[in-house]
Amino acid sequence: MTVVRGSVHRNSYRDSVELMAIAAQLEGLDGVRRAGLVMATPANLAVLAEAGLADAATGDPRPNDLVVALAADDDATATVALERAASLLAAGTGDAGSPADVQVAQTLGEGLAELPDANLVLVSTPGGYATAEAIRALKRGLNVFLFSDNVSVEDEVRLKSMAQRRGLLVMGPDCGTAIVGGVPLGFANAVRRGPIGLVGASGTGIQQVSSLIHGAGGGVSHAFGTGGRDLDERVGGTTMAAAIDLLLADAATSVIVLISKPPAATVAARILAAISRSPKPVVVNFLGGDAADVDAVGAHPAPTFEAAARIAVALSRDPSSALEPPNGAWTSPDEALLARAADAATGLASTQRKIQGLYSGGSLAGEAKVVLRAMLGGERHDRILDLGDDEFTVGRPHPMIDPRLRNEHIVEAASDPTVVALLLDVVLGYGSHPDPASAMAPAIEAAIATAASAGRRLPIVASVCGTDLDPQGLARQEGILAASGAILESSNARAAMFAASIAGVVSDAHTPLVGAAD
Amino acid sequence: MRRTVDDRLVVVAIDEVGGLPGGILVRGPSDLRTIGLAPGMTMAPTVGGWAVPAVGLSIDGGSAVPWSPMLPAAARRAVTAWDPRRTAEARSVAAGLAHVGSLASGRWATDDPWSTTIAAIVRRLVIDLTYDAGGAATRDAVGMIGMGRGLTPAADDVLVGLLAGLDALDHPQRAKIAAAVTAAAPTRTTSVAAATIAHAARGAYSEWLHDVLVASGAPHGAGDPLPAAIARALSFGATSGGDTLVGLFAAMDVAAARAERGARAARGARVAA
Amino acid sequence: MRQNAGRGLMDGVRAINIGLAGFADPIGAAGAPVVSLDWRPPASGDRDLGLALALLADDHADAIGDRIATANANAVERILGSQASLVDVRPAAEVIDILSTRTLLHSGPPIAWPSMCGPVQGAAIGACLFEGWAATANEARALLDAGSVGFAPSHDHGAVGPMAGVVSPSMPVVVVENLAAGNRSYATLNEGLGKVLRFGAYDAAVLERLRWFASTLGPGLSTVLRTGGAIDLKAITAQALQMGDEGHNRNVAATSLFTRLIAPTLATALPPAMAGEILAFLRGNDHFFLNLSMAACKAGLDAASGIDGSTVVTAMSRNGVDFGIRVSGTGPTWYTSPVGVPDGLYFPGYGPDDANPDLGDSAITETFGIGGFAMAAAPAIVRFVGGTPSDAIAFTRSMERITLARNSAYGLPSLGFAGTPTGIDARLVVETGIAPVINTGIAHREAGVGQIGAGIARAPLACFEDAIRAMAERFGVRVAA
Repeated sequence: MTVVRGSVHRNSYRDSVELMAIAAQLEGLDGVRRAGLVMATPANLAVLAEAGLADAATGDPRPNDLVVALAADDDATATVALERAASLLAAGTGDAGSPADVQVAQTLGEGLAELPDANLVLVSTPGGYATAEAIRALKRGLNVFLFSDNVSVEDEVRLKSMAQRRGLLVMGPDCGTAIVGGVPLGFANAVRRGPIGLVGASGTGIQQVSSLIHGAGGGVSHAFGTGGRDLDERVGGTTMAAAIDLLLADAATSVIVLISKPPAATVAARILAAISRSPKPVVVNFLGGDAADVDAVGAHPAPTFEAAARIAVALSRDPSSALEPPNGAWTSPDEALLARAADAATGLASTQRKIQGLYSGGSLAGEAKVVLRAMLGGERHDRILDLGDDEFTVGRPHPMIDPRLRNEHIVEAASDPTVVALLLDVVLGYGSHPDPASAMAPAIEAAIATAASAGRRLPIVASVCGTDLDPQGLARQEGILAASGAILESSNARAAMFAASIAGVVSDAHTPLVGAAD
Repeated sequence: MRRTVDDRLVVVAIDEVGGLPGGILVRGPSDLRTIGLAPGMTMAPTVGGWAVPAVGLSIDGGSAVPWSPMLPAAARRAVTAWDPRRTAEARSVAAGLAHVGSLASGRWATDDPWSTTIAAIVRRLVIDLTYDAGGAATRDAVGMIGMGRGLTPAADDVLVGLLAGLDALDHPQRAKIAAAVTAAAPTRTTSVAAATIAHAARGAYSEWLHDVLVASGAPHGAGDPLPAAIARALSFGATSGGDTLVGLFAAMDVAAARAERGARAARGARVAA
Repeated sequence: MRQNAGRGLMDGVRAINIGLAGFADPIGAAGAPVVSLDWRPPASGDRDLGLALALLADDHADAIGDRIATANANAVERILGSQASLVDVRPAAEVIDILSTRTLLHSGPPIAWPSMCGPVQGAAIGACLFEGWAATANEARALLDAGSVGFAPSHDHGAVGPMAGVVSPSMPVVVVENLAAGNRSYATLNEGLGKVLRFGAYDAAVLERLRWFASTLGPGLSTVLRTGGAIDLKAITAQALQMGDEGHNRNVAATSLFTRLIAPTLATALPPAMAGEILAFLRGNDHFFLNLSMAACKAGLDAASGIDGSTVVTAMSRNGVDFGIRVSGTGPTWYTSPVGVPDGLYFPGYGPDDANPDLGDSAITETFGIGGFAMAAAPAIVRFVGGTPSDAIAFTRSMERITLARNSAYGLPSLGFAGTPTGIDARLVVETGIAPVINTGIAHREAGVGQIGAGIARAPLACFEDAIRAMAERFGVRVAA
């Protein structure tokens, strides 16, 4: 049982730091669940009410009054706490008991004094300062996970050549994720350990492949991020080449997966040359790239992340297995999916032609485009937006952390009569929003309702990139989304196939109306 | 330290604080509380100065120098002249120096409803102001008045910073927001905060805020005045300076986003033409 | 042949996290050791300088980093290895070449007569009177206005002086030899408190004391040293640090130890009246050892100067207008910045408005690792700024963050006899933004009023930033301005 009590101090002034200190002291008392000290403005009273502390502000306080609001286990505790608050307010600043002699390491040198055998530095400072920190780390013989973006390509080349000379690895810049020996770095999913080693230029690509490997019962030895520009001609794939060497030498790794957009030609040649000598099977996912080059060096091409994960898991169980796509091609839906898509397409209007993708993961958006192009051809007006792109994130948090921006887009898309299906990704894992499905569910429900009020149906197809070990929980997130009315697929590639199938059904049904040739 | 006979707010501060709207700067001990001054006291004008009857103190205005709280020309820039890298830099310096738990630090308890709510409203304001959604922005601006901790609740300081930034970049929706918050503030927040908002709405800001705006337009490099200006701003009040910067940075984000939008539109126009 | 990348990584992550604090959580949860830094932009947020600093960081795998690391190790070794010994007291002109002309030495970085602050101008006038170059103060001023007297920083001529630090040819100076490197340094004799030349006073009593120094104290001490032998200053300082001195603002223990050491020879080698006068003077001057301490520090730091590539600070000093530092790798070059008024406690009747900006060569003690750096030895000093004994320890601890070594010869009891933080690295000052702390007296801004308080000053960071820019340029590391 919780009691809510409060006191009002007329015309009482305290600065905010003092108030925070007093609130912290009150919350430190046994039996006090929450304490808030604020001026009794209407806005603050509303916030108190939302926090379940409405009863604390009694006696019609005015904006110039100070309110002490408490939630405590029982009346006696609340009374003691309110008395304590009164005496602290009377005494002025509460003694914060600042631990003045505790020194927190501020520089890399001081950090190394605390952890002398460190072997890795994570850098996520603002980009302007990141190069300097990475240089310091390399100079001290430490590998670097460089999350920061806005690092120039010149700096990237400089860092990577420094690293190469010293036998060190620079993951990044703009490296979103990695897993080293089971330890997640940055935005990573919690996956089982196992024999599959990943190297990827794309953060969400690594997340999707590692999650799907886990989902298929496989496991990951290491996953190295290279940063999005590593396979650029100017950088030359230095990190990818180094990471491939690491995995080749690693006894715990028996299968290697490479994930990237198609590299520059010279870089592709270098990478393919490296894997042509590999005694371990290599799966290559150059999203939208040419499978023949990969075949030519004896590696396994995988057009989608899902294909990469499934081929890798099969190879990890039987290195000689040549897993064929179940339906002729990795971008072809199976019968069951087609049947469900046909179901979902029932009653869609002829005006509904365009697939609208609203993505938080850039590479997942890229994968969706590859699938749509393979199934529907290029001459379409589908709109696949990467809301994590700089264009959308100026002054705003990334949609993986804060779903608000995407929610606005979801609701807006529902009033567009030309949209035939909405395609969404939801990325779980460390660093992501603690409960993205719950944060998105109201928008999904609103979108469905908006379309319905205009006399339309709007299928919303989503996939969740994550695992049952992630802090958010894969099953729980999928459950919340399904309850809100979304159609769940087990991978982003399958979600894209589903949306494309819906679009295909609608377009076939209405072909005579629009008079499309073919 | 408020309320003269004509019901206006007067702020008495020591010289080092720098110019303030409605402020009287005096020479004295660094903490004026040590000579008995306290917030909320009544001041009365006297011949040639002011008096604080409660503590028997008189302030000699004879040698006072007037100072204008209106933005200097150097603080005003077109939207294209707001470098988002400078904003990022300013934000990072402020985050490093600000009191943990305050808005400017970016670090607060996840169950702190005030900071979480204010931060969310600020994000909405940036979007609305980027796309000229004046009605939505005004609703949010009025809605946040009085929210947060402190004698000037944090959101009120944020508003002041936002108004200053919008003033500097000459935002078309500023007048509408300024009028609405001036009208709403007296019943929605403390009298000190309402007075500060009214000053900001008419374009009057503290000198340290001028300094941050001017410094953010200075080139980066040796002798960069920005970090020092940020540090000085943060030393104003307990968290007020930092909260004000949060509003100012939001306005800078708006500038960058509007400039980017303008550039995209121009590119689109060229392609179309 | 390429090395295998990812050195050490595959046997398990041990991470340091710079930036987003949340990134440490999953690492820790996975059982890997992780330390999160309380990172803030280095170099006061100047990105280019921060980058230059990183490029100048120690690294035996690159030419620049290796040269700096080696040079600094060398510099620190010379500082720690210095053996300051008081060998004689001589008239300044006899041992400092430039004083054979009509020249005065002053404290701090170079400054011209018209720009000097009140106390230094007063001291210069006093020195002209003392030397007999002028008969009255007005005559002296005219002489100085006409540019007929040369000026040079003491530091540029092996000498140091507290406050105004004016040294004229006839003044006796202590001769300190660094037995390890063979170099010598000089300092005037300390006049005590009250109306004294170093605060710009030049009345009859001041001049009378200076004459007594030249006629009695100087020759007397010279005889004592020549008879009784040189005195090991390092040993005195080491003991005094365990007796509540910090070697800059509190010197009572060291002065007592010094007096005790010379007393027997004084009593036997000098006429009784002379010995009595000298002992009486020493009894009344708790700060007598300060000038010896300064000369000892100067001797150690000069030995570490001019080591190509070293970023170790070899001098910090103030002339009442500018603060200046020197860095080993650029030898005698000064990097200066305007100097402020110290934060401190004023004698009754005075306040910050009366204070002269910080003044004197005495910050050579901090440069050597004592004074403010040894605050933990002298908790009484922090009273000047309203601090507590734990603040004193915190001052010393924070100086450990900008120094390269600890001087094991100077153990601090309150820190379990850990040595004083020694060898200020200009790179660390700029990287951390922690400015060296300096214990100092506060002079009245008008000549001759004297000391009006004492307190704690911080060296301005701009000097250190300029020094790093200069080092970067020397190494061809481009720093955009």
